Amino acid sequence: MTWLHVSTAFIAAFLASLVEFVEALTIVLAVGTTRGWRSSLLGAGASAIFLALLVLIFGPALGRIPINTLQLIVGILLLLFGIRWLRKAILRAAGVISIHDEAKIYEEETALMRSAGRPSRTFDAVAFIACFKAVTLEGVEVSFTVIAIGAGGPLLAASVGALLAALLVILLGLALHRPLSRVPENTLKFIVGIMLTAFGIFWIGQGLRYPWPGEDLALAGMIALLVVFSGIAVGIARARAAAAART
Amino acid sequence: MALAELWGLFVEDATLTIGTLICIAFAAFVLPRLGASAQWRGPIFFLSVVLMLVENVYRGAGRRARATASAARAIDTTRMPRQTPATDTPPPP
Repeated sequence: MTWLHVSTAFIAAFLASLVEFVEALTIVLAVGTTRGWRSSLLGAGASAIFLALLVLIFGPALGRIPINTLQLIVGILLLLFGIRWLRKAILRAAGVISIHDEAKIYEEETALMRSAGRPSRTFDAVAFIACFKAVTLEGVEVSFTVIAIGAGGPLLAASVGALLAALLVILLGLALHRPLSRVPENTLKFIVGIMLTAFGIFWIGQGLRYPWPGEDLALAGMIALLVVFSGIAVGIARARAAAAART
Repeated sequence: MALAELWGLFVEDATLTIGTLICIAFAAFVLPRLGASAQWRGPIFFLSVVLMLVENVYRGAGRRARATASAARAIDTTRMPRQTPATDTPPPP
């Protein structure tokens, strides 16, 4: 395992986790400001404990799976996960689907929470469940991404990347008390989609025991090629959408 | 509901999922039978995924643009009766 592989795993895990934590923070902030912080933070905390338990229970079991089988399974899931992000990012960049807007999501969530009636003074189940669900869903994505990227060895680098992203988002959330709408989320999602797709293809090749030309360098090569092909795909999607709208 | 959301992490557009799985099956079962050298199988697999993605994006963009255009036309049609109809006859003096 080279420094290139370790650093790519760190960056991919950091960026992917950053996006997920920003999304979770938006919901927690919206719920906390409308229905009170106590139950909202309890929900987020309970979710963090639940996620830690999941990793503790299922994490060691992964070590018993033969490495090639693990790389193949994780590679398939990572490719399905990453290519979904990449396709959406291409369509967003081409203007075919709307851009992800944290400020708009915050407004919608705030309105939804206000419509859920007056919060209880002791324990607000609505706030607890909303925060628990949001953090769990985004946290499952983070856990999966970290395990999948680190499956071939750089698990520590991927975990450190995710932890740093969590710390950064929590600190920014505490300092700003509003959604991080200035984070270039759509650009980040584009980069993460490319990285996860490249990792998925790389792991599948490793799992099938196909030697990659240049070994770990192939990962960087695939990322560079995916950037080029994605740029071409944005142009194609834009032209196709314009042609289809005219007919 | 939680399972549906978990499923949604990996599957959003069925054609993209099926296309990806076909590419993986092609790399795992077809390439070795075609006698492709082991060193080329990875790059061929990579290219097949990229081509499938570009094709999927092309189709998806067309489908979405048509849907948006027809929705806009439907809105225009519902608004039409409210507008003053254009006539050739001059207004009364």
